[in-house]
Amino acid sequence: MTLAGGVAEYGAHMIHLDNVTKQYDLPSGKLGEIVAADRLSLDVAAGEVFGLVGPNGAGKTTTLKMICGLQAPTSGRVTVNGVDVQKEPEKAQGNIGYLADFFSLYDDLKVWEYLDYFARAYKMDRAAIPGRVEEVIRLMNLESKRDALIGGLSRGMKQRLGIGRAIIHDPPLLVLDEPAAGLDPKARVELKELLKALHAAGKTIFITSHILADLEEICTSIAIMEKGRLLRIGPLEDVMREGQEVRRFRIGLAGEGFALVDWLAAREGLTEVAGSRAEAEFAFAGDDAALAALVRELVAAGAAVCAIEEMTETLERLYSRVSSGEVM
Amino acid sequence: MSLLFANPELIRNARIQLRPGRVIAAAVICAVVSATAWESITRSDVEVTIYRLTRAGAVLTLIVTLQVLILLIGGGLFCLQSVHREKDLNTFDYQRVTRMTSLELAIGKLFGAPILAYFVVLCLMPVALIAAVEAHISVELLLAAYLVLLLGSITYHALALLISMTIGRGGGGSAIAILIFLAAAGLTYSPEVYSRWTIWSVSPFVAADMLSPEFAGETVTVFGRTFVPVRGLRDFLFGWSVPHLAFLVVIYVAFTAWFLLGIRRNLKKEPALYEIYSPFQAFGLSMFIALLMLAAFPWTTTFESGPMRVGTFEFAWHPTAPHAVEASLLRVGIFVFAALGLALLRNRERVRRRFREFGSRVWGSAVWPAPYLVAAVGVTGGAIVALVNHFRYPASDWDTRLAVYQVIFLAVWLTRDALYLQWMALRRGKRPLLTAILYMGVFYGSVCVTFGALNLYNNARSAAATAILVPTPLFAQGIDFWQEQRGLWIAALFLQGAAALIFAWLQRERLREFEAAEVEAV
Repeated sequence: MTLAGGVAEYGAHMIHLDNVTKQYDLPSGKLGEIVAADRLSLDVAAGEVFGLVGPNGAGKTTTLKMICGLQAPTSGRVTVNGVDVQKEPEKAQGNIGYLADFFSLYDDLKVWEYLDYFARAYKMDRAAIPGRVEEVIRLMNLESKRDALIGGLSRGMKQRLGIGRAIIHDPPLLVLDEPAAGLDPKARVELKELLKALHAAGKTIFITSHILADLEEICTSIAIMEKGRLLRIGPLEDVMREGQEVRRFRIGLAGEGFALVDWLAAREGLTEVAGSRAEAEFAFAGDDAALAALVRELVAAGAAVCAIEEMTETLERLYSRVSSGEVM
Repeated sequence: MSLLFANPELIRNARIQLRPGRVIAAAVICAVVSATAWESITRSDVEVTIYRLTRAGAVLTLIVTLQVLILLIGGGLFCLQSVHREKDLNTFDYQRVTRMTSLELAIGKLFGAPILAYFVVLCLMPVALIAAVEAHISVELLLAAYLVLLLGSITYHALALLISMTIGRGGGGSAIAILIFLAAAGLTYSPEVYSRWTIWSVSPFVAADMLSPEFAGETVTVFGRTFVPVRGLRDFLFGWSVPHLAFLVVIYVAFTAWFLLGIRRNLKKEPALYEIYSPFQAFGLSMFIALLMLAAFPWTTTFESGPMRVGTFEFAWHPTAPHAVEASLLRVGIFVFAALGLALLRNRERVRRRFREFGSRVWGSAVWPAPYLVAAVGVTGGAIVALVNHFRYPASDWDTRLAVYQVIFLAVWLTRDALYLQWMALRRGKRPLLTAILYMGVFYGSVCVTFGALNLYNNARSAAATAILVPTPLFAQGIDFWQEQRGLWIAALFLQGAAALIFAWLQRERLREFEAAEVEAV
């Protein structure tokens, strides 16, 4: 058995949410209701790395838990690898490896015992369990801690063990809730590499994270969620392109003797001009020829242009613009 | 067997609890306790007189009592933590998301959580066996005692697991759960059980009593109370003689099955959607308990002039007037019906899901859980009335209309309170059901104290009037009270019914809010 063992046919729907709503009362003492998921419909194809981003309380964790069968939708239907999670939870859960945001392990168990427990709990072939346990220990780089009690592991090691638990039964789908939370930079890099390896091995990964730069690096599709609704969803490039209705540029000058922002703001076709005397950003609706003409005009006006670059949309920027309602 | 021995949860618990260091420590402590018990009793200069046991027999009963204590209470406390603690540690979701079924997980916890207690019991077996041989205890008797110990402990462990599943996070719930469990374990060993019913103690502590062969056929006085020894004892169910051991095995197995059913239905569900039993199952369980209650009542002797005698022991059920017996049995039944009512109550999430699944049936839902409650009281009350009527002396004071009235009144009163609790449970807010129960407790406490202080229960007119608010006078009601103020009693019944309808209407209004929210959502 290898990393690539449990994969689904590429392109087939691994996760399907059909008009899913989850509604519940506010916890302890507060009056009111939460609609954690509001008529969500989405499909995640097999082999994708799907990132779900949104502020705290957007409904990300609830959505993940509904996919895993840990919470039942108030209405709607969730299927994983074609299996209805509500109707056949154990069968659906056999396809899922899950890592929660507030993860916790059994401190009194040894590393190998922990993995062995979950291998048995996922009803793996008894004869294959010892080999798979050793393989996952190796993959997670925990060989030196094989016989150590979990209570004595560092947080990074515990997180690796948590992911090891999620892949122990070689599921085609990994559902990870904030897997990088609380990790130091080195552990984060290791985690990212591990997720890339799992993706390369054909796993479908459904992930939430507050570290958007990491998501941008590993996700093939993305959804932005707020107040239980999906504001944007699709392949990463499409979502980024959609968000970018006009191109954005940054111009840099050598020296501060020119009133750059004022000059740009007075031009037609330029919007959202901001910056300083030596550097400015702006949105530009024209084509490349119009841009070339603008630069020529700027140079003719006496500005010592030393740099001009097109600013690509980052997930972080898109997310902040979408979630603030700037882009709908 | 693979459900048990290849159970991952059992193996996990065994690995954590039976580490070599812990096992050695437990074994050493048990060896010390065994040696101390043996030496102190067998070499004592003091003559062993209690229960007229041989010295070895006294060691055996002591060790078995210790084993019951460790397995029943110690193991039970582990079971009480088994789900609750996993929720606190955030590890429970990982178990829920595996392919283990609810039953597999439940069985793993049922036998895995108390595994250290089982090990300690095993460590005490050598001295128990030596003592049994020395005391000439038969193999059959020893096996019977350990069967009771084992099956009884499993039953209580299943109860502890069910409680553990239902309590929320935090220490408060845990403390209450421990109290409930200890109360359940203690109540079943209450000496009161011996003298009130025709069955003997159902506590696993009976295992120790069973190993006192010298008791057979003789009575024993302990703390001023007279008991018949347990060995060879027979229970009387509807007057039929049944071996106590067989009765114990049947009820242990039956209750374990009921508890496991509740756990299996819910363990892997989202806690907000817990429904311990389906309405039909809850009704079935309440009827099973009611049947046990009626079966264990000394019908054939209660109405005789003297108490029932078995050997030299006397069953004493007082009073023996038919209406008083009926009222007493209804009073006992209230606990069963109240538990049924509480089990049937729906929380907001369940109501919301029902609306989504079945559409709005506001009026149908507004009377919930009245249908099942009325049916339970009706069936049980009807059986009580029929049995009392059958067994009573023909010449004794008996008014069938009064008996039927008491059953109807009880059904309406319980329905009123259940509808109030259901209405309150659908409020938004923190623990609405608990708040409702608290309000109800304050209401009953203050009203009963006030009415008692004003001496209102002592004359027919004022007693009937108080029945409008509280059912207290119903159970102290004699035929003379009933005949004197029949109109007022019936008026009280109708007013109780009117109160029930008001709560149904209030619940309907609450349900309309859900309906409106659903329409808005769509």
